[in-house]
Amino acid sequence: MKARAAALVAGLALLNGCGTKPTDYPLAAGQSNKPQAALDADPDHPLVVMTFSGGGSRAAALAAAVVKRLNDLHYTVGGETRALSSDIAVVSSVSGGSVYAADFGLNGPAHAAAFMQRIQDYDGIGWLTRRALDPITWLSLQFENETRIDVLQAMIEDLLQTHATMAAINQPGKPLIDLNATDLVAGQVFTFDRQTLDDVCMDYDKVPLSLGVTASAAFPIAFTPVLLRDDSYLATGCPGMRNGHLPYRTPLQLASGPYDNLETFRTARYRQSLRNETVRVQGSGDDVPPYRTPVYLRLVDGGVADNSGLTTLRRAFPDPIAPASLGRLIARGRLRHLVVIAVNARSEPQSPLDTSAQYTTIVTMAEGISGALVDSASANSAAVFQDFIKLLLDDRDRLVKQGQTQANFAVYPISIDFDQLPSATAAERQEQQRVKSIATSWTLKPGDVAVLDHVAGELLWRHPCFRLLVHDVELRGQPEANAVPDTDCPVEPPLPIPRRGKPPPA
Amino acid sequence: MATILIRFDDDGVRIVTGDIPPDATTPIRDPQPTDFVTNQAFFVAEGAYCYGLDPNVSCTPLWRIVKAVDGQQTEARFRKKAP
Repeated sequence: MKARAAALVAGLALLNGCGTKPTDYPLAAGQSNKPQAALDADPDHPLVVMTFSGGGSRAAALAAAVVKRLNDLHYTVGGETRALSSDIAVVSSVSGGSVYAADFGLNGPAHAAAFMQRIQDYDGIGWLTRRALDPITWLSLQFENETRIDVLQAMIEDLLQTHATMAAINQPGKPLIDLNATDLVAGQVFTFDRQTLDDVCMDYDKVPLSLGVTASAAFPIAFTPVLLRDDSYLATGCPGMRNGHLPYRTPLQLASGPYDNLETFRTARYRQSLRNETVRVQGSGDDVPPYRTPVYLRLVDGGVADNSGLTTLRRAFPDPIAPASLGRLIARGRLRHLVVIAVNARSEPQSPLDTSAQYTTIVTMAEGISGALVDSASANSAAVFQDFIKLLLDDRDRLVKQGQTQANFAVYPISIDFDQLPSATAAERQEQQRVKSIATSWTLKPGDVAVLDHVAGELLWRHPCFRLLVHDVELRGQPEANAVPDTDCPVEPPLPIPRRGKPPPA
Repeated sequence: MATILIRFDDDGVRIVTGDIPPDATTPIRDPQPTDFVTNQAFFVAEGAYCYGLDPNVSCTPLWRIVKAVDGQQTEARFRKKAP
């Protein structure tokens, strides 16, 4: 495997085309992007929101394995028996997780097992190596103005067996899929959704789905960035009819904007730069231009900004105009059980640096820093999301105390993380290490997906918030692990929500 | 997360949002409807918002800047405009 990986790296290095052709699917004159339908929920059904982290093939297979478990969990309401997976309403994904998110958006949760088989059987390293050694590829790179990232996009289309465009996902009645990349210059999360592609004057329905996945998974250095042209910067402006008067500008219009909420201010400023608009600050006569002029956008792996996918959720949930606004659902009394399942395929690979005093080369340093950056950004994102849930619950309690019972809902934050596997015995530690060492390249060893499949069930059933959910919603399924002793889900509803089951297990 | 309560003489009037108009006598241009209504608190992210009421409702002021603070409830009041 190491020899093949080395061959791949050498092959990628050979693919040194210096393409400068930006990708562009312009919004034509007179055309407009349909706005994204707002999320709806049935208060009798849990609202399931999932994040799929980065981590290459390991992450894609783990995410699919968790969804497969949700296919096997059922509950009955109003005489109807439903799978919990049919309540997945939002998926926010990064890098390898985006590969499965795309499959999920195209084929639904029932395809999870087939996807897992596809990942197990797929030889991504072999595919890339063959392409790297193919003279036709060299000619394409030299004469068709292509780059290594085009090769990755072709592999993703081969892996997903689709040439679908974004139009195939995010339709009314389907889950909302957010594929997240990173804007290399701004360091901001760039989400392939209707809103953001509209901002850069692109025709959402014409953008290949594989482009969003590729941008999300374009690991820096190994792959060149996805290069987009922002037609908002054409001399005549965006030829299409973008959504005109979005109320994103308020933080930029106020002198107090950076103090009211610095993150919101920065996000609004980034959006202004994508749309190439001016904003007039209240009380001033000046029209303030964008802080940068991104005529071209370079998008790299979403894990550079946040490898968990939680940032996109945290920004969308409280945004009153976002399609995934929770405030809207709560105001209408549509939310009773909010389930957030964060699938994290993070690992801490054994490093030879731990036991070696040898000179640290620039390559080693670059690898170490990029890995540390991804891990620290994700750790920060997870911590901020935890705080967000606490604030959400505090607000809920306040409203319920005011008599607004429609604001009473339960939250089940469920993290799926290899560090939550038992590790008290040598055998347990061995299993934990085995799963953490599963490759992120798109060629797995026999049995790798089976191990991830087993671990997904174990992690889900060990989680105290998942067990509480099983109780509250009366989910039926085969437990795959015992509860962790003396561990409760830390977020209980403040007022009794009518529950149909027995008291939760001790 | 924060909560906002927009008080008004009538319950259930739709709240709209948009860019801050140039002056107090100009209504919100191209107001975007929200799913929030008067006299019922709602959830938002911490930050500043420009809110008005359904343009079919005669009220004063025409719009207000409301600043939401994490962990707190902010209130703003609109009144029916005298005929």
